[in-house]
Amino acid sequence: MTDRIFVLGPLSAKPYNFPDANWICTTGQAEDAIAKTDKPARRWMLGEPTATLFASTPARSTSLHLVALEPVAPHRLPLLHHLFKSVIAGAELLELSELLDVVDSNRRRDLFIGGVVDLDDEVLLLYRGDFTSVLVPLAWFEPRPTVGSPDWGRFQITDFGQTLRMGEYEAAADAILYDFDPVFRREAKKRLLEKDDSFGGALRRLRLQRELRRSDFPPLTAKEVARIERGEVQKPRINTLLTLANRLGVEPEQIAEY
Amino acid sequence: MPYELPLSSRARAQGWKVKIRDKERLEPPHATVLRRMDSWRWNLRTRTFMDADPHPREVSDEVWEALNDQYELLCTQWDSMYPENPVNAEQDDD
Repeated sequence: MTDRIFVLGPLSAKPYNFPDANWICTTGQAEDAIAKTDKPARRWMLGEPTATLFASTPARSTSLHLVALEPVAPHRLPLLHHLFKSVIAGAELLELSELLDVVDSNRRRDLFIGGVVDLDDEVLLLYRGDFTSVLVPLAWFEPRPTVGSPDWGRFQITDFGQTLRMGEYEAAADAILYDFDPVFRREAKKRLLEKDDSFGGALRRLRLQRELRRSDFPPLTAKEVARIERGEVQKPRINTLLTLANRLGVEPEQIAEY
Repeated sequence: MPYELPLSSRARAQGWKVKIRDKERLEPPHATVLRRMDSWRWNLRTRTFMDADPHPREVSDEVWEALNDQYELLCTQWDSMYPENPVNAEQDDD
């Protein structure tokens, strides 16, 4: 069973066409809902995010996550962070019907439900379906020959959390997780039908992911890198590993994870 | 921009999509079949599915036929989007 979700939205408008939900509109209903967190009912749609709705809630929940569909006033955020295990507010979210399917799915950890673009720090904070987050530098989304650079003003999440769209530019969620989550990387390798678990295979995959040529590892020559990728070098020297790792932007022991 | 393979209206109505996005895992070249929360990577070098989970048999025959029928087009699209890692690259190029 999934963790329960409170979704904040303007109760008066009910703009979210999701029939399989209970709407909470009074303090009493909120108390009742929170008190029943161990019961089978899974999710609630919560009305306007007023402090009074939560005022009588005694303590922080250890299992409830909150997603705010509408902007939350900054002065309310401390209270929400106090009451909930996690709070997603101010994020660009996956369409609601898809979002709720994702958080109910056993694949929720591999799918994104929301994100926040921070142009000041040039990072993208992405929320996964299990409410954990991943931080990705915007520079990771390099310009592509057919589309140019991402348009961060048009950031969206689509395809049930499997695709990020930035204007005309789309990025695969699994490409992000493969680069930024070692657990996802290990699981992804287990799913491969044809496995190449060699160090050389991992080096080749990572090199291509970084869009590097074999000649991009001076003082190593392209031929030396090719010999390692083909498995002709059983145990590369530590200086060789350091050269490879530095250029690839990983620790030497991480190369084999790819 | 991403490439999306045209599929029949029936396949689209069932939620099937085939895409090559602008930022993919690069190795090996592939098209991604998407349906709701599932996806299947189809290797453009070997014309086989790459991952065991979800199982490739869950991909509809119609989508699988579209992949094979439009194979050359998919390769052309991949090569235009990822010229640094073309479909027909030799394993030991550089």
